[in-house]
Amino acid sequence: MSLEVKELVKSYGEKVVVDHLSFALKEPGVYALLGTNGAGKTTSIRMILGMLSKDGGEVLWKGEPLDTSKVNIGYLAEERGLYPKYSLMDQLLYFAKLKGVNKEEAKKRIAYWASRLEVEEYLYPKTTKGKKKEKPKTAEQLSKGNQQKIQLMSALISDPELIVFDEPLSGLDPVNTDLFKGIIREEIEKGKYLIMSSHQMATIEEFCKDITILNRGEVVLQGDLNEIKKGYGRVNLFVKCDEAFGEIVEKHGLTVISDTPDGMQLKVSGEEVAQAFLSDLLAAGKNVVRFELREPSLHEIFVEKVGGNHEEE
Amino acid sequence: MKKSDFLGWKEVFAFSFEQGVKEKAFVVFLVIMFLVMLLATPVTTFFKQDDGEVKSSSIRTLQVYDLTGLPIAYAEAKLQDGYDKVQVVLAGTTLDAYETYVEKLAKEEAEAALAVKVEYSPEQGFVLTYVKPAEGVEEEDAEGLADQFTAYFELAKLTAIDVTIEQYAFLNRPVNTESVFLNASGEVVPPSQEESISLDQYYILLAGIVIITLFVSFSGGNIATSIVTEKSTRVIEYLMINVRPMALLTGKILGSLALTVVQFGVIGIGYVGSKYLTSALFGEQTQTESSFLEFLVNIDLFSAITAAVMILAGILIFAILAGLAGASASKLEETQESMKLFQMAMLVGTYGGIFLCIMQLTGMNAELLVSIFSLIPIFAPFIVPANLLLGEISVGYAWISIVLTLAVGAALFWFAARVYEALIFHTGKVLKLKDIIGIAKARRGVSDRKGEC
Repeated sequence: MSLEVKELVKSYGEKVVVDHLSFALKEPGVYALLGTNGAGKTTSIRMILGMLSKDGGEVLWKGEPLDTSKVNIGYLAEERGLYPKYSLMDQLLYFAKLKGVNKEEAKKRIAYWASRLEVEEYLYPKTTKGKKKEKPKTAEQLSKGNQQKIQLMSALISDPELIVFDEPLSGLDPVNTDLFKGIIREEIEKGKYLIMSSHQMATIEEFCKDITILNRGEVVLQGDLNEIKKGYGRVNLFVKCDEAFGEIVEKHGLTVISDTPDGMQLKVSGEEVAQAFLSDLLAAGKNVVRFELREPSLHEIFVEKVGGNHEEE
Repeated sequence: MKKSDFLGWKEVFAFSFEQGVKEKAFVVFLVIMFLVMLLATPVTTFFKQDDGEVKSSSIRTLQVYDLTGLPIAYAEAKLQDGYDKVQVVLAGTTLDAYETYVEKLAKEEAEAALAVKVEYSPEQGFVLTYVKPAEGVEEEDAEGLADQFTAYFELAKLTAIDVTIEQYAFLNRPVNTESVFLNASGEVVPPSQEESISLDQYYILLAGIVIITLFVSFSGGNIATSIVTEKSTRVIEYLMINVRPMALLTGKILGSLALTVVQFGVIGIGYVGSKYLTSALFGEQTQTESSFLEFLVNIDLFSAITAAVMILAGILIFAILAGLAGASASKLEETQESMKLFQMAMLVGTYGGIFLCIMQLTGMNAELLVSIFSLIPIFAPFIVPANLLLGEISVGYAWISIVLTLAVGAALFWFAARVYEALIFHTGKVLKLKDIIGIAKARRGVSDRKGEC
């Protein structure tokens, strides 16, 4: 067990913002911290990384209290931070130096990541013959997406063993989202430990094995995502027929989640009920175009757990 | 405070310093200041020389109407500085002759020449009245000749009554008095020392205050802006993964101080360069410059080192105050507001120093005040260095002041670091002093680096 978070507590005055949060990364992979805005995700991450004092609990790395000055950690914060007026290269070299990477090695890694993230033009000023050398680019000259790429470079430049991504894909276009996802996948394959916080449930489902859902600082759901889904069972039924089939739905007393021209989403109590419903559809001569029985998505679980019970910041 | 709290301060220092040096505003300011310092003295000396250039006078004759009856040989008068060709003529010895000449001059019947009436009365002594025609003689030219003739007359009148210059100097020597007091045992009590300082010393004290104020102001502004920038851009969150707030604050303060040292170093080099340039070009020094150089030459090494340590200790206090100001703001536009406490402290220190300078010049119980104010860290950097170098306070006393300043500085740094830690994620308005003190007491921000509580 490499990272263990035990009973973390944080309060501001009377308000408890993180209430006895515990989880562990038993093996390399991605752990998801989910929750609505203000649920306590970023506060938890800041406590784990030692930026914020804890009112209770402890964080262990390989059985010892986590000392961020000794453990190689890569961090991509929710609020991106770069010096607006300093050259990007200088900043990356500075962050690398703080992480103990020497200048030569840092330059090699910057070159690799610049090429990987397609930001070479911002890091290496053009030298056209006969023309004055271009000035190095600064953060304020970049788009938000490109700033995020530089930020990702600074998080990964030390080749960290523990990586913390707080909303890594927010604000990215689909092309860059895929680029970031590819890099996350590579880091998982390299055997890294990742903690990820995101509002994009599909991304979490794509990468994470274990999750914790926070609501107002409290843990409302925690565990292996597959097990959680299994626990719910295959109760989500999606049906589309060429003809109307409302009377059969009524006959079986099924709950309608949504009814659109693209089909009807239903909630069933079990697989047997779904089978009986399908038999009746066929017996009634309906032309069934789509019949899909599946576990609930993380999005549906999330909404069920915190929907209507969260506070917006 | 633990040693690990300061891990990484060197990297923060190096980055802050390097980026500061690269900033265009810094470079432009440095170049301008260097050129101003380098060229100021040669240029002013050049113009002064130009102003004092000896021009030959257009006046050919000075008509003297001497009513004193002194046997002065005016025809033998030797005038200098462009007036050596002016012929001095005794034109009359009566008031009538003088008035007749003035009347003719008014009717433009007389030749356009400068005239002087020399008279004596027991009430007023010697009075020299110069008469300049309306046209034909320039005012500046006439004034120059008047100065030359008056100087000649001063000596000529002595010769006329058979008094030598040496005798005259002897007669003019001052008469000083001294009182000797005896105590109850009949022993002589040593006379009290002169308490007031000279005008030159006063200027040196003032110059010291101005330099320290500029230093404090420059470095303070840099530190606060740099801290607020990191907070407002959220870079701080990335830095804190590897560096403790204590190390961050230390690196930033020292980085900004180093930048200011570079600024003043370059200005100093410019000043020294200008001295060399001036003597190379014009080969002379003014009286003020000579006395300042004399002051510099007479400083002993240990006093100089003590003064430098005092300056650094004092500036450190103000740098920490600036750090505290930066820590209490979260947006760049709030920096100025957050600097109120710093600016107030700087002004109090500066005006306190100036007040003491004036007291020292007038000699009104200044010695006691200097001793008291030297022990107060907010005043010490403005007062101690120059007073030490002038011998107004002892080296031992200066070290007491340094120790006190460093002790207060350490306490202030501890306080500032706690506030900095606690307010790293603060995004609200600029905090007031009482809020800052409350936060430092509670410190609900960053914990120790390890995962345990």
